[in-house]
Amino acid sequence: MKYSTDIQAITKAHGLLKRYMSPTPLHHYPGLDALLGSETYVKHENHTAIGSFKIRGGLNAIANLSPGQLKKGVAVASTGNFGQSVAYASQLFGCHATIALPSNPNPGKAEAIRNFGAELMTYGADYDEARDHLQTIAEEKGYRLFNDAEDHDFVSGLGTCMVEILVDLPDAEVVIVPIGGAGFASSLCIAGKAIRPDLEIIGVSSEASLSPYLSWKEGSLIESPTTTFAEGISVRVSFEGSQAVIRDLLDDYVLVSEDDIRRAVVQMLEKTHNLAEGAGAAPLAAAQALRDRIKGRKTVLILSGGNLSLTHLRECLAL
Amino acid sequence: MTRPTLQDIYRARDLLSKYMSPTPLHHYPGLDALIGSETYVKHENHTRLGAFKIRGSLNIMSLLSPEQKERGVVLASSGNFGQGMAYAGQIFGARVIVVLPENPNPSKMEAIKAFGAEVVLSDTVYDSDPAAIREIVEGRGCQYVSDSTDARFMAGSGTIMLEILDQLPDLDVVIFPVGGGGLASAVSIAVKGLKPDTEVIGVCSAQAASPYLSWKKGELVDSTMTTFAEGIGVKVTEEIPFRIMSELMDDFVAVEDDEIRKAIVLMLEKTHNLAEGAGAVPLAAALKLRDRLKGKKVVLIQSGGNASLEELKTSLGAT
Repeated sequence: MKYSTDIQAITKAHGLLKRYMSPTPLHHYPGLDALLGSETYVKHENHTAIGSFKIRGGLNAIANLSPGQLKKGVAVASTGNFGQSVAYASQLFGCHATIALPSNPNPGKAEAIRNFGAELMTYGADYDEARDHLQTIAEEKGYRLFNDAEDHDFVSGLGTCMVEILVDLPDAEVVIVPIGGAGFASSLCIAGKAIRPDLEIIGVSSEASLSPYLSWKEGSLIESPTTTFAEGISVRVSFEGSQAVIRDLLDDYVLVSEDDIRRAVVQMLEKTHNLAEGAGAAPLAAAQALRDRIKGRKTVLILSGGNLSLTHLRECLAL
Repeated sequence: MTRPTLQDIYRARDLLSKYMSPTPLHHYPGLDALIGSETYVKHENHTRLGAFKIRGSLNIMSLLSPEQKERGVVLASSGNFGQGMAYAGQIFGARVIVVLPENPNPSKMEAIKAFGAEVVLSDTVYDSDPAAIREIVEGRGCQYVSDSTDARFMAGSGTIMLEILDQLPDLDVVIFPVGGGGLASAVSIAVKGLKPDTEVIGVCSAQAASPYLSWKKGELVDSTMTTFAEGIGVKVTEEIPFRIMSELMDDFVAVEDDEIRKAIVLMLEKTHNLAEGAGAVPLAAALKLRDRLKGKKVVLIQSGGNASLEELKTSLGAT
């Protein structure tokens, strides 16, 4: 396999995931057509049980464990959506999950993980320390340890989003995806280009988190500080495996400002009545920058997640 | 036929399966913490039109003869029903005339027109026998359809309960908004027919209390209507839904508009979903009924998400 996943693994995941979640809706919004000039569809990853696309990765990763491994349990060092998706899937499959976070974690996130029945382990000053400690424990107890973004089964699950899009809208012309660690974008590209080589796939990142964009542009991993409010696309350094995929397969890549994203959050609320987190609204912000290019074309915006806090929402509305 | 049978509801489900996917029923631990129940939200805001009325509308259209489609239907609607019928009319190739109040929600009116329906503005829509509608029925031979009294509409709406029972067969309580009473009647018929020990609780705004007062008093009572929640904004209650609700509903709660606004904000915070006023009243009621719901499996029907930005800002400002 050239990359961390391929179309066979993604279609297999697509078949498997149908048993555990419904396809998310792809809705057409005339209100967005008027704004953008394209025939505009939104892929509603915010409608999943955890409000984000990552549920696909968690489900596929846990569903592919051997019965023995399911019994022993899994471990993951991640905050937010990745940890939540593994916790959610583990609960569904009756598998013990340990989620490691640095000491003094965000109470909301810790609560969300506990709500899904996972064991929360706090250790160290940052993620690296928490991860190292978790690795020791995982080896001791025989837990399967997952690494964010690059795990084969996890990444294969993410691409099922593109399969669903192309089942619902076989003649889609442009798909716009948010990019952070690039695991999601890489899997979408692999699925999209395998099924429809002529499909245009465009990435979007925030100007306040440049690593994925610079790494794509320069052809090597480039670290860059991140200050974006859009946690879903906030990375200090992107992942090499995923970067290799988008370097080969992504057609174009645009940057949007933090205020562009905030405005897109509000427009998404107004025109589609859906709450998008920053990453989920970034494709709408990008579509406005690409208005000339997508005019009259069937364009899909991937609303990757809806987990926006009230505080951030108020900031967006205050613009 | 004045009320749908279970068979009518199953037939409607078969029809609807061709046009829409079941909406998600998600469990929200964040709401559990608040209410003390095991709390599920039925996401009618995730339909193609952001509200449950798409169901009954499609079902009505599917049962019209070719002649009836050509002559068309006329209806009064605060928005979502009009949008649902306009959408269904476009799919089934039927003429649709929508009578809206003289100061309609602009985005909803726009959406109705975009589906090719004709819009007539008249404040008589709030009367029990609107003059504007009578003129169109008599003058143009259109069929009058209602989301309060039409058994075909109710059969379509009842499919919500079939979906809930598929996913959560052991629910204890279902809570839903009551305006005209079409949804209330449909849900009550379905759940009392299939799982009679389920507690069925309707909720209206105290600022549009006609259905509540009628239910309490055992006879039809008119009342004033000042609620911002237009989806449940009624002045009068119709005989047919009144009888069904009197017979089948276990309890009825009226909540203040302030409580509805708080519930809109809580729904955003805890589920990351935008609810219109009507969609948020079940949550407002659940908070009031906390003691009674403790430890029970409770389903809140989030009937729609078509709130305007202004409404949202007012709600955020009020909390």
